[in-house]
Amino acid sequence: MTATVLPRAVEPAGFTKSIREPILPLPKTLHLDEAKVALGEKLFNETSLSHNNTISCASCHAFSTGGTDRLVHSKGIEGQEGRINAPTVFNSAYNFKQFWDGRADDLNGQIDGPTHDPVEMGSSWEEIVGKLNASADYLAAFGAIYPDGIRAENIRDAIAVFESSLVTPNAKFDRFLEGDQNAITADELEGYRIFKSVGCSSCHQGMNVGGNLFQEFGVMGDYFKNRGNPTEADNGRFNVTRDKADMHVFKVPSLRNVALTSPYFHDGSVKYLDQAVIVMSKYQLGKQLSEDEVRLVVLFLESLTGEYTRYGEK
Amino acid sequence: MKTRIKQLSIGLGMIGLLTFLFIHTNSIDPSAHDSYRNNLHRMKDLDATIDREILKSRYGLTSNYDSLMSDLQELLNLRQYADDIPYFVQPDGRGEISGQIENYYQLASSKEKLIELFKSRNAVMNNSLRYFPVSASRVAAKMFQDDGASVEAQSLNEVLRETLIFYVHADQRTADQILQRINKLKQFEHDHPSSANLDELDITLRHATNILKYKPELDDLIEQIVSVPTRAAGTDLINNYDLKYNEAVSRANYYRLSLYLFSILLLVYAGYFVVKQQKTKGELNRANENLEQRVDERTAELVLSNETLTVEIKERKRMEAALSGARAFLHAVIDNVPNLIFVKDTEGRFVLANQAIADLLGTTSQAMIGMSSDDFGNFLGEDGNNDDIEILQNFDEKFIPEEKYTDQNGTSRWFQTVKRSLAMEDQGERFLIGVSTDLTERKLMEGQLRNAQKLESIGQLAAGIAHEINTPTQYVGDNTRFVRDAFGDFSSILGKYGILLESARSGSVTQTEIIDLKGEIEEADLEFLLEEVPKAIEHSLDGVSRIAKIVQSMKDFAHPGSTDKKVADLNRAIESTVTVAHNEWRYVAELETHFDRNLPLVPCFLGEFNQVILNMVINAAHAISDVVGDGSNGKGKITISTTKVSDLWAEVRVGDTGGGIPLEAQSKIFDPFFTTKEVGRGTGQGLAISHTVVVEKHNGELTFETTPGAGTTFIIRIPLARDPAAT
Repeated sequence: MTATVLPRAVEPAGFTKSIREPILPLPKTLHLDEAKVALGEKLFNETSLSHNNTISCASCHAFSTGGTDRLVHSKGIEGQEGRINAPTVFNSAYNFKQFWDGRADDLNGQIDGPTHDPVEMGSSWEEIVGKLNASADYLAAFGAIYPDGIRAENIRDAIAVFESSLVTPNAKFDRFLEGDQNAITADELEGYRIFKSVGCSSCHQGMNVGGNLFQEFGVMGDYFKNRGNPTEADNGRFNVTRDKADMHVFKVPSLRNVALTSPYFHDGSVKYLDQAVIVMSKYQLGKQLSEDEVRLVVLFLESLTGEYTRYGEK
Repeated sequence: MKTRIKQLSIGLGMIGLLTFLFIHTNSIDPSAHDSYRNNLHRMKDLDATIDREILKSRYGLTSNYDSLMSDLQELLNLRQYADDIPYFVQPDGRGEISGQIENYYQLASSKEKLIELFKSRNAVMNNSLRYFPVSASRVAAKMFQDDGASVEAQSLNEVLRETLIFYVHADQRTADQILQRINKLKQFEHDHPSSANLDELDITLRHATNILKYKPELDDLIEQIVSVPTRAAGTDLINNYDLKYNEAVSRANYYRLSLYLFSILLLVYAGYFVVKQQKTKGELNRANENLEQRVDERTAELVLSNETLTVEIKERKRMEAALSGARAFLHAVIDNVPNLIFVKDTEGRFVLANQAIADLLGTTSQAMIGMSSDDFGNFLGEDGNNDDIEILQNFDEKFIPEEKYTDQNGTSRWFQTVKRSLAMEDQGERFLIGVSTDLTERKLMEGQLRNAQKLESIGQLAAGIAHEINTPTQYVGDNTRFVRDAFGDFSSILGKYGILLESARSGSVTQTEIIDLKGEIEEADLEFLLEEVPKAIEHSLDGVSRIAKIVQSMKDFAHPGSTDKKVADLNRAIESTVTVAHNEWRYVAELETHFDRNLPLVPCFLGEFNQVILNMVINAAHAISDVVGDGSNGKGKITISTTKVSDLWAEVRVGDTGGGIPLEAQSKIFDPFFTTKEVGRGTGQGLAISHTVVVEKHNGELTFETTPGAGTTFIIRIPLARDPAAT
C-alpha cells in the first residue's frame, strides 16, 4: 500500500523573493480515489467501529464544530471521559505527526489509537472487521475497491484517504496570501504583523500554521507548575520517547480554523482564543501582549478559518 | 533403445543448459535497475536538500519548515522502495545492501531526531533573538528612568551588545562575561523587589539566557545533523549497489559468454557431425547404391505386382461386368418369364417384381420397388386377407390354385399363385417370394378341351345315333312305299268305280263293268289295303316322331352352353342324354331312370351338365361291358336317379353293375389323363372334366361309391340356390 501523496507547499506567485512569508496557503485541489473517499466517509460516521456501536470518528470530530467536539476531554463509550483534548481532524493530513505527542507518523497510523483506546471506542480490529463483514453494503463497497475485502489495513486506508480530503482552503488569509490584498482587513493584517513580530510564527508557520514541529510547552515559564494538577498527558512526547528532553514537549498544533476549535491546548484548559493567545505569549514567547495586540492577533487567527467542501463537490 | 534415451537425455540437458544460460543472460531488468538507482539517488539528493533546508532555516532564509518536513517525509517514505532490492542482485549482495539500508535509515532516524530538536530550539532561538534586543533596550531604558539604575541599565545594554556578538561569534569567554552580568542583574532584581520592571527584566534575561544556551546548542545540532554520515552511507549504498549491479552485469555477461561458447561448442559438435557425415557419405553412397538397387528391384516388383493388379483389376472389371451382365441377364430372364414374380421384404414392401406383374398392375417393375400390395388395391394371392407375415414367420407356403383377378382394363383373368418364404442367410433377412401363373389361357383351353370332348362324344355317339335314326327311317320309307303302291291300287279301283258310276247314272250298267270292278278289287286285295295302309301311316308317323326325338336329344345334348348358369330341368336333360347315348349302352345294359318329379329347376350350365351325365353313362356302359362282354350272355344295368336331398342340394346318382373301381385307382380317377381303358377308348379326360364342371363350375360335389365286383355309383350334387360365392 502506497502512502497518499500530499501536495507540497507552494509559494504563491504573489510572493516576492525578498519577503518570505512564514505561512503558506492550503492547496485547493486534491487528487484522491473517490471510491475510497466515499467508503472512508461512511466508515468515519460508522458507530460500529466502537465496541458498543455508539461512537464514530465523527462523534468527536464533528465537521459542524471545526472537526472537534468542543469538549475539554472527549467522551468515549459508556460516557467515559478521555485524557486529552481532541484535536481537529481538518487539515490533519498536513501535520507531520499525529496526536499531541506525535506518536503516529501519519493518518493511517493514528486510526488504531481512538478505535482501540478503551476509554474512546474500545474496539479491536477483529471486532470491527467482524461487524463490517455482516453488512452486505460494506462487503460490496470493500469488494469493489480492495481485492482482499474487509481487512484492518483496508479500513485504515479508506478512513485515511477520506481524512486527507478534509482540507479547508479559501480562508480569507489564504486569499490574501494568494495576492488578494483586500481579502483581509487592516486589523487582521496588523494582527498578522504582530503574530510574526512577537515570534508566534517561529513555531506556527507553514501551510498548516503549525503542525510541523515539536515544542516544549513552557519555554519561557513553568506552565504546568502554575496550572497545577499534573496528568500523564502533560508529559507530552516523553510518553513516547521516554527521553527527559521530551518532557512537556507537544506537537505544535495547526492554527487553521482555530477560532472554531475551542477549548484550547492539550488539556483544553482555555476556552477563549484571546486567553489562549495570552497563555501562549506568556509561556512560549516570554511576552506580555497588550489587550489591543491580543485583539488584533485574534482577528488574524479568525481569518485562518477556511471552507470545507466534500470531496468531489463544488 | 538405450541409445535413444541417452540421446534424448543429452538433448534435454542441452536445451536445459541453453535455457539456463539464456535466462541468466537476460537476468537484468534495466527498468528495475533504473528505478532503484534513481530512488537511491533521490535519497542522497533529499539528504543534501534537508541539510540545506536546515541551514536556510537556521539563518532565516526560510521562515517555515514545510519544505524541510516534506523532504524529510519523502526521504523516510523512500525506505519501502529502497528495501525492494532488484532480484538480479545475488542473495549475499542483497543481505549486504539490506544492512546498508538499515544502517542508512538508522542514521536518517537519528538525523530526524536532531532535526526535531533543531526545529524546536531554532524556534525558541529565533523568538528570543527577535525579541531580546527590543525587550533589553526597553527594560534598560525603564530601569534607568524608573529606578535610576544607570549601572544596571548600562550592564543590560552590555548584555545586549555582548549577546549579539556572542550570537555572531560564540566563544566561551564572552559567554562567561554575559553570564556574570546576568547574575549581577539578577542580584539587582533581588535587591530591588519593588521595582516595576522586575518581570520584564526577568523575561529579558531569560531571552538572553536562551540565546546563550541555544546558540551553541543550535550550532552543535547543525554540526551534528550535517555530520550524520547519511551522505557517506548513501554514497556507500549507491556504490555498493553499483558494484552488485556490475557484478550482476558481468555475471550476465559471463553467462552470455558461456552461451556463446556453448553455442560455438554446439556448432563445432554439429560441424563434427557434418564431417562425420561427409566421411560416412561414401558408405552412405554405397548403401545408397545398394538402396537404389533395392529400390529398382522393389520397383520392378511393384511394376510386376502392378501389372498383376492391372490384370486383376481387369479381371475384376470383367467379373463385375459379368456379374452386372448376369444380373441384367437374370432380370431379363425374370422379366421374360410369363409368370408373375414378386418378392417382398418382411415389411411387405416389394423388393423385386418382374415385367409381367408390372404389366398386369399397369406400372413398371422399377416403380413397384418399395411399394406394398396395399398400394394396388387388391392383389394376387391374398384372397382378401394378407397372410404374408404368417408365411414369413412359419416358413409356410401358400398355394392358391385359382383366383379371378380383374386387371386394369376390366378384363377378368385367372391366376394360380404360390407364395413361400425365402431366408437369405447372408443377408440375415427373409423374403416372401410369390409366383403367379396366368391360368386364363389354360382356362380357355380347358373350355375348348371340354368342347372337344363333347364333340368327341358326339363323334362317338354319331354312329349309334345314325343307327338309331336309320331304323325308323327304313321303316318310314318301307311304309311310305307301301302306301304309295296302295294308292296306285286305290286309283285303279276308283277308276272302275268311276265308269260304273257313269253307267249307273245312264242306267246302262253292264255285267262286264261289274265283273271288271270286281276283278280289280280282288286283284288289288282292297280289304288288306284298307286294313294295312292306316297302320303303315301310323308306323311312319311313329318313325318320324322317333327320329324327331333323337334329333331333339342331340340338339339338347349338343347345346353349346352359355357363360351364365340358367335354370334347367335336370330330369329332361338326363333323359335327352340317355337317349342320345342309347346306342352306347343298349347292347350291354338295361337302363332305368328314376326321376324325382318334384325336383325343382336347378341353376346350371346345362351343356356341361349333360356332358357330365354322358360321361357317367358311357363310363357305366364301359364298366358293364368289361363284365358282360358283348351282352349276348345277359346284360348289366344302369340306374339313374334324381333326388332333391335337401333344400340345398339336387342329387343325381348314376349307378352301374360293372366291376367297381380298384382301390389303387380310387384316388386317381379324377386326375386328368388318368384312364384304365385301352388306347382309343377314352382320352382320360372324362372324369377330370366332370370333376371340374361339378366342383369348380357348379360348386357342387362329385363323389363315388364303389364295391369291387359289384359296381360303382357316381353321386353328383348340385346346389339348388344360386350360390352367391359362385363366380
